[in-house]
Amino acid sequence: MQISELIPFIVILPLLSSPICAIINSGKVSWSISLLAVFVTFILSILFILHISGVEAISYPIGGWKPPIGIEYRLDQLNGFFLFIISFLTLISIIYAKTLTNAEIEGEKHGMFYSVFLLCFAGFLGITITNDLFNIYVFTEISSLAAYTLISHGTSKRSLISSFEYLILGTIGATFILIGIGFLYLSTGSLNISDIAERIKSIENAITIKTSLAFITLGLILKIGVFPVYAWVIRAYTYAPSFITAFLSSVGGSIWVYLFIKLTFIMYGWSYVFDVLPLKIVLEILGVGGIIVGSFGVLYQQNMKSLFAYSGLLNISYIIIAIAIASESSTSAAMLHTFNHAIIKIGLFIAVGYFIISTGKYRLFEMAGISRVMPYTTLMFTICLMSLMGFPGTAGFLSKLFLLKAALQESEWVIVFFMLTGFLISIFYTWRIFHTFYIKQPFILTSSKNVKGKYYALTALFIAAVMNIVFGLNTDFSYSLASQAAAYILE
Amino acid sequence: MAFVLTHLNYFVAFLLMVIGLWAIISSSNLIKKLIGLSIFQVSVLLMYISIGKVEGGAIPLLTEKAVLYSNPVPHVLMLTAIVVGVSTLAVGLALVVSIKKTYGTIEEKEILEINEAEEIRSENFARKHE
Repeated sequence: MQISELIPFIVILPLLSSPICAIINSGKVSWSISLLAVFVTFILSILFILHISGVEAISYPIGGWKPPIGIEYRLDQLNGFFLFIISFLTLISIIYAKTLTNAEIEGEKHGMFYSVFLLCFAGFLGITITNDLFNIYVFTEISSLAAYTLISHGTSKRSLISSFEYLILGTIGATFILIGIGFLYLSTGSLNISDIAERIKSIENAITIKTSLAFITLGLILKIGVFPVYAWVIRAYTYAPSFITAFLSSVGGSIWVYLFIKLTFIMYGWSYVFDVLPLKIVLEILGVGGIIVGSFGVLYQQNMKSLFAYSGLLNISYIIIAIAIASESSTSAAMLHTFNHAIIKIGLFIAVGYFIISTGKYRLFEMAGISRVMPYTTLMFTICLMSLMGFPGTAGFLSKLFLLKAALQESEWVIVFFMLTGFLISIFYTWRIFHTFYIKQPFILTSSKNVKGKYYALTALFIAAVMNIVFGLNTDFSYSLASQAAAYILE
Repeated sequence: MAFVLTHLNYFVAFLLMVIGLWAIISSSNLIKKLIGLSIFQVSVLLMYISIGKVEGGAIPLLTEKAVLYSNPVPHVLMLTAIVVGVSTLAVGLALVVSIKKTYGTIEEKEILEINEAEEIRSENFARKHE
């Protein structure tokens, strides 16, 4: 059996498991089905990664209609890497989900909840694997609609209003992307990304192409949650169920970064976007703005989920800046940091969610002295925290080093200054959390209750913490994949 | 003026788009926001369908008389976009229903006030026990 025949299954599998979960509608069975589907997807993504190195791309025409007429699923160095990230992180979050849904979601809704989660997952995989622009839009909407539903199930009633806000802005973002696709179709007459990349070369300077780039960039900036339009993402992550926060902040963030890289580098051509058009300076300004706002956020927030959502903004800003610099070292650093940041964030949000359900506290000052109540969980949390800070020997250190190196190579002194400021501030706020957890006098109300099925959450946290060390000490795997992808998109 | 008349579809689409965005931004009522969102999405349908029209082209059904056909692809794409719009609206309305149930209002300003008051109250409560 050829590997290309397996390509569509990576989307079909979660998509088909979703209605099964909904029909069975039992928490335990639906969770097992989801776990199985995500696990098989993970195995598939590893298979893909093994087969893709050294090959240009593997293409699968849907329904036998050859591209550019038909829809094409295309596996290349770039999306092979991102498929691995997504399925790996989703595997961690689905293990974690067992504990959290028991604690946060009403019993009769579990089956439906997993069903919608699988839809969201299938949408993300679809965005990654497809090579057809309109398909990307449809998958974007599938995953986003599922995400709105998932967010609205938070324990606080504010989750409803943040989900509504997410719906409005997410739809505006997706519609902007759709308008951009329309302009591209208008001027090239094609929807296949590789085909458009060929056709666009002769008409690069047409006003429609520029307009389409403007709309698509605007839509993706909204979706990623870059500096001026980040508040809705922060609120959604703060009030969503903890499992969904862990899932969306790591997986969702990577997806939109991937889509932005794919469209700007492969479709429009990176030299056109970042050298001919002034997108580089625009993105750098947005990134610097994000670093400033994110730094204030992480220093002053008391709500733990909100705090790490701001730290997500900070890290996304580094990634956006690195993408805008568009050299080989900076793009590989951007992709490596996307991967490492996702692992860090999933670990942190898993730990925070676990703290919240076992103590009922969600503010930083309320968690004072928590290390005495839950020493092992706090230890694993601290490993992820050190990785976020960029402590040598953890995953976060290396990608931050590469980001800084890439900025230095291009002599972008302003960027270097702001990046260093951001890194310094990350030392301050991680220290603040560390100090509260370990040194401060215990808060009187801090006591933990025994959570039902807590070992699932702890396993997930353990995997995340170990991965932070593994990818920190041994970078061969992640760095070679990221640099392969960078070399591929800069061709 | 002639340019405007020949490209009337696009101007109308653009106008609808701006009206939709304005409705989303300016209104405080959540239902009105959703109406604005729908108008915004519908404007894109109009834009796409205008792209598909070829001047002098017949409807895209294979006949012997016609030489030139209009492009059917944008229409097909927009069928999907209509479905997306309907589902977005459905999810949005479902959210508004549950917001009304929990908050007792669908005015954004009042909801924000309720949220803020609650946030301050719970923070003060937590601080008192510090």
